Amino acid sequence: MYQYDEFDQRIVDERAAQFRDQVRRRMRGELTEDEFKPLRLQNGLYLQLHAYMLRIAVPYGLLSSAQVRKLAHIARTYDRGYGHFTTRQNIQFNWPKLEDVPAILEELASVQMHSIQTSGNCVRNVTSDPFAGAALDELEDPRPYCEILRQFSTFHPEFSHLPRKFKIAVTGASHDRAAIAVHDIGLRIVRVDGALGTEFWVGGGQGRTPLLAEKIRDFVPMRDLLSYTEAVLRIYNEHGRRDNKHKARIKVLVKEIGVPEFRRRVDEEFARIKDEPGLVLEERELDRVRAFFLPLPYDATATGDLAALGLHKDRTLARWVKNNVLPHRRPGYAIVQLSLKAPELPPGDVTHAQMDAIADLSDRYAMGMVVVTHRQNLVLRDVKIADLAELHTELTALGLATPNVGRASDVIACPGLDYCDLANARSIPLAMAVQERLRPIEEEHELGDLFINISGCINACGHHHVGNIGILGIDKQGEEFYQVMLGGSHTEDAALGKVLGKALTGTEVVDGVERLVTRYLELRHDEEETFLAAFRRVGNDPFKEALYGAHSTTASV
Amino acid sequence: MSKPVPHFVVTANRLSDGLVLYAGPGPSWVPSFDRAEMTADGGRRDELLAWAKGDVLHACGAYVVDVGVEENGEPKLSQRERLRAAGPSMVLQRLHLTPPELAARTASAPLERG
Repeated sequence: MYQYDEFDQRIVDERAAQFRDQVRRRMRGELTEDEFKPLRLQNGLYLQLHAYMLRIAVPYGLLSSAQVRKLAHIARTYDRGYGHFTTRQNIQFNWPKLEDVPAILEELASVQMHSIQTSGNCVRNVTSDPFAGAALDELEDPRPYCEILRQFSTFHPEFSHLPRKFKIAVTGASHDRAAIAVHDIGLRIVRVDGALGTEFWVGGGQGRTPLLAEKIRDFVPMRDLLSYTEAVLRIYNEHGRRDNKHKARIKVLVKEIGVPEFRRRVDEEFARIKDEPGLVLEERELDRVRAFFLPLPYDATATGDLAALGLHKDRTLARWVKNNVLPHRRPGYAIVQLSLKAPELPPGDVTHAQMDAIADLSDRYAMGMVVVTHRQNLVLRDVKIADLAELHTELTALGLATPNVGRASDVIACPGLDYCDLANARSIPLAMAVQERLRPIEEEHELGDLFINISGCINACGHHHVGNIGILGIDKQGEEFYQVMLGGSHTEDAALGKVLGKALTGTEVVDGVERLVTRYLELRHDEEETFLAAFRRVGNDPFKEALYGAHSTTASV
Repeated sequence: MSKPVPHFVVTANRLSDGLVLYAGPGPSWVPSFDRAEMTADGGRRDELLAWAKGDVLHACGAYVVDVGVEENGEPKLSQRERLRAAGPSMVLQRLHLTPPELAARTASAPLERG
């Protein structure tokens, strides 16, 4: 993985020292809260409902075991013993004291981490495929390009005050595990006539105005990755709306002026800057960054039959292999997903003891790396098939082997009103109630892929728009209600869910989701037909009836 | 039947750790809604808010909470303010990490009000 050079290290060290001074001045009253707020937000420190929240960047979700141990130490020493992995492959601590945050930033800097650009109207953490470098369907490892974009966008003087926040996702595989269609810029690496480049998708996003990204270029050579990205950002920076926060994302600009005009403006700017020194991605620079992501020292003698393990007589092991383990591009290896959706635990939460244990397991079994997924799970990317049974035993003891990744009880949920100052309704208790209700059905039937996403407000941190079943918390006269939408997808067949009808109470939603899943079981052709495929085949009405009752198909929305 | 009189309390977050505070008698900061000064007087509300905003060394993010009245006469709060007053529902207990002093004031709230 990428290693900081002396300049990187100096930047994060100095940033921590600067924040220590800023906190000191705030505590002494030398800075007002209005003066201090932008400074803390620039370091990812939010004031939430009950406490401060520190959001820490995990570039493209990749962590070393040393970094995971440091996060465990921070959770134990400065917080309440746990951390929360987010849908943007980051981690958040929910209870830091203000006076401790400078020390936390220093601890982070000591393992090449920080919380810079995890808030504010700037380019946020670049996200990617959690299986990058190991996926069977990968054309090109996207991580070097993510890292190049990270370096390009960090402290970019021109893009520190964009109209709104800006999110970039990169995939190098045919199956989109990075949800590029719902990002401000989504990059899909492609090869055309032997040359490596990328598709440019622009203007996707969720939130108040959910829109899928539009492809504005089929192929941009890698040489021009930065200049074309810069051109997109410049057009957005110049023409994006600043008069209305809710209309300030690039998706609104693309929609308002249309793709052809947006493309024309970007191409015009690109033509002007494409050969500027510093914007041309030289092969030498690419090689320098790629060197950090070279294939690991895999054991050439490793063997194993993953398919056979999926049929193992130990049915618990077999089920875990079937649901949580994926083939690796290297013979004898597998990709292992650690479920953070165990019963009775908030989705995405990991205790300090679990973090320490995960770090140890990654050293023993997975070459010292852990990856955060946008589905709020973790990945040990490079595990020998021969070690899987032993690893399964270890993970089971830690509560990290729930065999449900990508299944109904693998519910994504934002922190919701339990923590978040912006939320309208709680997400976590609802997610846990839905998980509890669906778990017996999941154990009895092979439900296949079924993605349930819950957001506590329209900002959509739980990505409800792209859930097969999406649930959105709303506020009605001070009370929490939930809208249910169906048909969303975050992959290469990206789609936005459609609201089925009137909002329901939390209890009604739990009952309703159970009925939706039961209706799917009744409707599907066979176990191969997923919930989404069945929904696309039969449409809204059978599900609407299941949710609201027999007369619901004519009910007003 | 007379129209319910609107009541107000002033709340903020403690500067040092962000925990929820309420303006209590004095005024002074108190850690629980039950001990907050509740007033129907707009002038007193504004005084409390001005005091809260002025106490920059101890608090931040001060604002006024509208308090309604339940049929039984108890104060009526929005779900957001109920959670601010009670702490995150279920979350901490599930992790068995709740410090005893917080557990005492943290409600295991159902998905709907009972």
